[in-house]
Amino acid sequence: MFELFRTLGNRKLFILLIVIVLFVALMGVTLGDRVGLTWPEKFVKDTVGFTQRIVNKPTQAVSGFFEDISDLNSVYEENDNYRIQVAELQRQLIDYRTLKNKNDQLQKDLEFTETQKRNSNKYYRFSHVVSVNEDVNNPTVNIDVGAKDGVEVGMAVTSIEGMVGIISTTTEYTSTVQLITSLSLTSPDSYSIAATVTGKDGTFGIVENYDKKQNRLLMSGINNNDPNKEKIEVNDIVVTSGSGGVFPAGIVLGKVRDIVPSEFGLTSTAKILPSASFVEWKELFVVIPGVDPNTGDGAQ
Amino acid sequence: MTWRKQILVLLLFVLFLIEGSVLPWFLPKAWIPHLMPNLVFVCVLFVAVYRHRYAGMVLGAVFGMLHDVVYYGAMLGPYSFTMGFTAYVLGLIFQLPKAPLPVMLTVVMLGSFILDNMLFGIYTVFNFNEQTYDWALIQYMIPDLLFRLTFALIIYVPIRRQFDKMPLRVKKKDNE
Repeated sequence: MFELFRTLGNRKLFILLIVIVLFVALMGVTLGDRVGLTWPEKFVKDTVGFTQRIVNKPTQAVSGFFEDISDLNSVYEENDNYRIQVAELQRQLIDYRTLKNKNDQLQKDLEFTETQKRNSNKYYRFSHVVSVNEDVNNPTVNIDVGAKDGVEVGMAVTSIEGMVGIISTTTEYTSTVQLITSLSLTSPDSYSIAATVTGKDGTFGIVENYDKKQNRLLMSGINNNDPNKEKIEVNDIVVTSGSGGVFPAGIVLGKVRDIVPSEFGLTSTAKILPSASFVEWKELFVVIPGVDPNTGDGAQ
Repeated sequence: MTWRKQILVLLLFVLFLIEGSVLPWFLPKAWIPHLMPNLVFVCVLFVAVYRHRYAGMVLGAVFGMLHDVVYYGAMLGPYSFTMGFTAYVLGLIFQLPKAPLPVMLTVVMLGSFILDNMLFGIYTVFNFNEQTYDWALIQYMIPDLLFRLTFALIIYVPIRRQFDKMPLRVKKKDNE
């Protein structure tokens, strides 16, 4: 081997080969689940995240300003609508409080364990997006909350509309969100979400794949053959079920657009239009299980 | 005069910030799923052609690694390797301190194409994408190429002027 390179008289080829091997090793080592980041990575991420935040603030202000101007016409109507909605919300909040109290009481009577109780509680930690990676194969978004704010790897992240992804890495002051558009059956880095349909008890499916060509989430493993159970149908709204304990229940994923039989014909697969848009990045919410430490209120 | 090199690195960092934190908010919404505006890479190619391929390679590897670390989602290394390698190869072929505009644009087109293809290859090897090649070609490789080409056209004149002012280090020809 060495003889070969010497006869070629090309040391550079040899160096290139070593570099390729080193890079492949690096990619292999950093692939998949890692326990935590090393301190140089954390340092770089935090410093760059800080500068990105500085750059990003005026950007969002300016782009928000232009959007505001274009929205100016519809603002009166919108305000009227919001006023009505807020009034309705107040009424519903009272209902919600009573129901929640009752639910808590029932959980207590049924002797739920602490983990089970914790699982039904969640709060939303507000965060700004500081930068976006538009790589099609590896879409990630950086947000400006980190381990210091109680964010941990594996938590769900939502926008106002619905779920956008999970936290893949955290540092002290920033964290990286891996979008659900990167869900894939073959990817070594993927995860799956236990899902159900609102208003239909007992329905269940697993969201673990994203069809990039059609922009649909695929929810597989649906049992639509049981005559005693309610079926999942088109236009149903899919939410996380909370079973399995990874993600809290009730995070909106999207709307069912199509149901097709799966490969082997025993179960069905639903094609879901994600409710979150993956282009408009402003603010995201990290869903943290447990009771909000600031208000002491586990509501919503 | 001697500060030009430091300013260049700083400029690349500013471009890195812009492509991640500014551009996504100003690009038309319909473009976003089709574009990876890797502006740093275009500048790295300029360096590789007008200065030296090693400078291009080092800058490509360093800023690629920065990209990998900051947007760490799948693995570290793909950007670092592809950007460094592409800059080196294109520098090896096209390195010419007086390269005219058409040559530079060809380099940017080739570079963009090679970069996207290598990334596609790496992600396929590690099972991250299930897309077919023709889909990827239409969906993001060609839009990327056009976008980077436009960006190269915009920055060509100012960057060229700066490089012409920068004195080339007088060095003996590499003997290989």
